[in-house]
Amino acid sequence: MINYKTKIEWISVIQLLAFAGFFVLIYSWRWLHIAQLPSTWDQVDFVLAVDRFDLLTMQPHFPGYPYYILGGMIAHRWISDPGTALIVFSVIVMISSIVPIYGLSRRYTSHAKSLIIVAGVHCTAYLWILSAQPMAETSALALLCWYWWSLSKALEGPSYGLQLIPLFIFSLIMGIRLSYLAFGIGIVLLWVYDYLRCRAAGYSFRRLLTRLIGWIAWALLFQLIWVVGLVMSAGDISGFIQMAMAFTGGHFNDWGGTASISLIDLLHRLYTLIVHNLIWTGLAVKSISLVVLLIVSLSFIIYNSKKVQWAQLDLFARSFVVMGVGYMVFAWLAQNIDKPRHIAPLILMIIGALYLLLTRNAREHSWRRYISLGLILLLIINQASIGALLVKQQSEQQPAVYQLADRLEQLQAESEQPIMVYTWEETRILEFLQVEFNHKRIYTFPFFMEETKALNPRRIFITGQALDGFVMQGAQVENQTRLVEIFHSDSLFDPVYADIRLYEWIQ
Amino acid sequence: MSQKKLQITIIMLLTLCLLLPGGALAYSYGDPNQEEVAESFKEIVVELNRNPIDWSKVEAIYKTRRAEISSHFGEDVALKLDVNLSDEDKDSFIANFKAVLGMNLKRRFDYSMKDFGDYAEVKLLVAKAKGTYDVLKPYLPSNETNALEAAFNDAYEALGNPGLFGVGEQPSNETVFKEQTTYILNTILPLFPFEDQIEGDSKPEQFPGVVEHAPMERMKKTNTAISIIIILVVIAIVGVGIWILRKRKLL
Repeated sequence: MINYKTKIEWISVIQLLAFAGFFVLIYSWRWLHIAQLPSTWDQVDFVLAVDRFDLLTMQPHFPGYPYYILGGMIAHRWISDPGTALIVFSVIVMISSIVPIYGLSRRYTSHAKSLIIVAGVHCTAYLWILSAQPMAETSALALLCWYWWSLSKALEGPSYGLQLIPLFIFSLIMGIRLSYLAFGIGIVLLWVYDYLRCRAAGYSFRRLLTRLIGWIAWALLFQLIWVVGLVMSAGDISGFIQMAMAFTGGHFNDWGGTASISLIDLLHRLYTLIVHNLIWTGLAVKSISLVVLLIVSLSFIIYNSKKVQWAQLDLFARSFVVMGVGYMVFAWLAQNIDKPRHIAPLILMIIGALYLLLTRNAREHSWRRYISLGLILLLIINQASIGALLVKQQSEQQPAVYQLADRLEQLQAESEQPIMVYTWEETRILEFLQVEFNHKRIYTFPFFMEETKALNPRRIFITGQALDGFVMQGAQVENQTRLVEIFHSDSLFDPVYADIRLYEWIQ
Repeated sequence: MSQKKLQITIIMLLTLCLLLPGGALAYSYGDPNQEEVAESFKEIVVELNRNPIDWSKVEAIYKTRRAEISSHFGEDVALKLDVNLSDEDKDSFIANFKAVLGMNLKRRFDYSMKDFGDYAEVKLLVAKAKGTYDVLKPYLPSNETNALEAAFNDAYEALGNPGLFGVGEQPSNETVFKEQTTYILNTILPLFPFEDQIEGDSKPEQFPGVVEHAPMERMKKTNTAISIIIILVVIAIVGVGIWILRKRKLL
């Protein structure tokens, strides 16, 4: 960066202006198309938390995402809608990630190519969709970029101060999205390198040990900041531990991996993770043209790889790969496979690496240069235009749960007695919308039978998710249900409740 | 060399053993928004509506709660339920158990009033009360439930909120809390009277003996156990870490 600064030419000024103009354009578009209607359980949790932070009533759900909510609360002072406040906070943090992505790219390539890589990463359509929802993902992703950059700087030398920065940024990430814990591998690797380097420098064992214990103490101290904030919000430590235990227990029972996982399940999960979530949804946002483009780009990189002089991977690049693989294993084994947003960090990493590899192929005065430039431009234009369309669609489309709420309000208006609606997670959104009819979450068929008996002769409705749960418990429901309506929205925006079936229960 | 490896393995296994009961205990907490007595009631009702009724199953579920009922609401209440059970009197058993849930609601609110300054504690007590209410809800007149739910909301908000890092702090309001909980109790309790005709002296207003047990005693116990285990595990992990490093140095 220093040698660049010494010779600023007019061409690089134009590059910078074009880049800035491009960014203003895409971010204004995103600003205009914020989907502030929370349409999933998680989103409702976050939006409610901005007004009242309370883990016990699941606003937000455990582990609390304190820095994210804090950001939303601060933005809420100027922006009256809590959902918009959260999104605006995310977008601002996301814009800040231009700096670390540029910094990281500069380690490996020139100024102009770095600008292209930054533009490419920020155009990724799936990240657009996520950043326009009130979800913690995008702000955590942006901080991940800062974390990687600080890690790459810390790996360069034995400076104590530089090595503290990634520890601090990592604590910010943990306070936003705890499931990015797997990226802590980077810190462990940093400590291992630091240990080896200092040992080679002839440090005594005692000095090595105190150095390591010092790192660990700093890391814990930084993490403690947000933990203390959470504990204070819960009142005291015993109340907090009790909630933590209860919620984590429930989390891994109901939504995480099931108790018995066979090898076939694991392979099936891996397939869903890579093919459906990562490639089809994440990288290609369900667009054939993007899939083709990605395959062509990859083939081009492989075809060209022999012609390129490859430098040996540096320390950071190696730990970057280890972190990526580590997170992927974590997502494979421990994350909810139904929600593709869990692999968002991998999308970021892969897209970044892809653009970098494409630019690396661009050697001077070669036909390959034009092809790789063309591919990069096509990818950026494609991702950006699809992203722009999707963000617009997302802000205009009525989520299936909202359609369900409207239809049920109508049914309630027609009916003389109060109706009763049994759901799964839809209840959370209905609660948020303060609908006029009764609704309740139900899991167990015998409880349902018991309750409906007591409710007779009121009209009873049940959603497809709840009904599927009963069927899994062995209930015979064919003769007792009548399909009322099916509601659709795009599964890109809400993978789990994009299709909702509404049934009437016949006693 | 192999001895060292053996030692490492043993220490690792020990750490694992320490971790396992921690995980197992964690599951004994239950959802803080559910009340165990009420959840048992749901199971009992399901059993009682089977045809034919398997009374041994009903008894088994009831037995898990009997000690609690007896200590919180008095041995008389538990004895009465015992009699209903041995008589295989389904309707009285259900009616009396609903009354027990009513008493439980009152117990949770009474302790909330007593500990009102302790936000963490009272919040959990109110959540338990709500868990009890949720189970009783299908048996309440449908025109009352909206108002009751609003009262629960208002009562909960009257607890205040410490905010996040001090942002979004809200003050508590004891008067509103008392008003709302009194309204809830006055609406619900008369609907579920405790039948006591067989013994002759009918005392429906009697909600006896709540003083012997602290409201959250069971959970507090688990808390200490888990805290100790967590501390032990942390010590073990740090110990193993230091030990391995020392070995490295010797190598």
